[in-house]
Amino acid sequence: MGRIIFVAPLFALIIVAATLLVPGLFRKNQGKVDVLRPEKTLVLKGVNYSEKITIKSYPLEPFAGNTDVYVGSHSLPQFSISGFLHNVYSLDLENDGWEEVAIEVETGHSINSLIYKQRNDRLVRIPISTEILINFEGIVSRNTPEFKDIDRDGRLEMLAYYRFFPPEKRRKVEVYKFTGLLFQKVKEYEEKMTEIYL
Amino acid sequence: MKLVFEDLTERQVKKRETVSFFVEVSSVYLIEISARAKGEKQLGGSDDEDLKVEIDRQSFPILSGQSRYFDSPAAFSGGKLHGLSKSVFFFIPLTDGLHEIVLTADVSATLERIQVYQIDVREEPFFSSITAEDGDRRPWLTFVFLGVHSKAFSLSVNLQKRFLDSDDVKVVVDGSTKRNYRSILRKFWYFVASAKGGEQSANFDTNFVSGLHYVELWADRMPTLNKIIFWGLSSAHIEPKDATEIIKDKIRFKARKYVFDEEMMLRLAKKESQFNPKAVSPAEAKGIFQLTPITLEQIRNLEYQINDVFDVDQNIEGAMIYFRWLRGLYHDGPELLEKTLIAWNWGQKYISRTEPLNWLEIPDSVKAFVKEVLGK
Repeated sequence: MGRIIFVAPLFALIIVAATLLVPGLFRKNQGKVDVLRPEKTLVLKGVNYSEKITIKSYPLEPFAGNTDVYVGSHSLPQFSISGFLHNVYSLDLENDGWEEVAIEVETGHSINSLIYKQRNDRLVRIPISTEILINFEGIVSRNTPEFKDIDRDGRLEMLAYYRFFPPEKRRKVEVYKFTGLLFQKVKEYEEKMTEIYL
Repeated sequence: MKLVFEDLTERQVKKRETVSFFVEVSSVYLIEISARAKGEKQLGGSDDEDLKVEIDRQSFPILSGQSRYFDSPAAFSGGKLHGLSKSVFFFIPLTDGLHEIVLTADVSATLERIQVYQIDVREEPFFSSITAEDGDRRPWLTFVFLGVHSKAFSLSVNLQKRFLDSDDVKVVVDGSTKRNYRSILRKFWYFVASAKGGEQSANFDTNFVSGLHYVELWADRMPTLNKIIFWGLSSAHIEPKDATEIIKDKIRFKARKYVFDEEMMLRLAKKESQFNPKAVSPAEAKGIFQLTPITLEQIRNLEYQINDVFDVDQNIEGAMIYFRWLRGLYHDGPELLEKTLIAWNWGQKYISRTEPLNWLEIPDSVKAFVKEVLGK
């Protein structure tokens, strides 16, 4: 009996110490990422200005994804996009100190990439010359676009990649130049790759 | 013996039926098929029920007439069975992968069960405690050897002696009836109860080296097989298939299960991963069908849990379930597959569930994907 009384407080002490030393050890399911409900926040910078953007995805019935984009402290989304959030990041297309935002959503096995510009306290989508507005916007591909100043004019060009399917290690590249109003396709070519899915 | 497949649904086979099964290991297998067929008098017509069996396009004719299949020892002939049950056991080497049993009925027949066992030939497989249904002289059990060597077999039966009609068993090896020199009246029935009821046993040489061989047991009344053991079984080395061929077989097998076009599902898997189960894309799409984390979650919501996306079986099963669900979103019509594949590649929200497709509104990369998967 005396041994039980001695062991019980010792066991409790071990539990407390383990909980403090290893956070989450005795907490179940905390911090589990719900892949159907991703959420990200970023701050878009401007000249003497910044704006918080919050992007939240959730499944619509039955499982089609929907992504809401909130600007600033508005409680209602400014707009919604079909698909589940894949990635979001800021970039400065014109190197003018006013950042744009790229939002990538997953639809089926493809990724739909959309670029938005700040205007007052709103986001305005930058059209792409090859899109068909009735049905789809942005770049639809298994890959995500890259932004590079390839003609060294101080502005970023968008390179959209359409990989071939295995075993071919090639991809089609479309080069879009930002005119200030839209991304205009200026070039298209194929290139060899070292990896299949890039 | 390890059971690898069973189909215990008793049913009428009319015309033709294909049963597919998958084996993981190249080995010798035992396929048991039990069926019954009625004679013309039972049917009140002018033709018996018959059922013949093909395994992987291999037919089983009678040995003396290569084009006669319905009265082969491996078939079920209503003119002989008169509605009674018969079992045929096929010893056959199979490579790992997908296999087919094709049952072809003349009129019709009743399939009772199909069971497939992987066997270790060194263990000398045996069969015991099988009792015949009560009936007059007819084929009862057949053991078929195709490409499997056998040196001999030991047979033990239990016979009941009755006043008028006792149990008897006839033994036929490759069409040759084993003679009973102990009885002049029943010289074609090796085991007869009229002389001595109870247990009787004997050993028989077979020396099957290659090709097709049959061991038949015929029953008169209702004898019981105590035990039959085949000695010295062996087979030529069975070359295992390469990994891609096995994956293709698994896709075909699952496509049949979900009633999809096998070739289309193969083209889809080929396009997604070139059948590479370890394929990973920068967008975190993984495995043979390039399932993304979101797709995996959707599949989980469809009540199939993929624990390992790189596991060939789980990836294929999950992809089929997802594809079936996508297909179910759209109204059946001439563009059903096109819409399903567009949804697979591009997402289901972009296309109408009821309206015809407007191909002008679909990105070129998606159009090309659909065209290739459909083999157009």
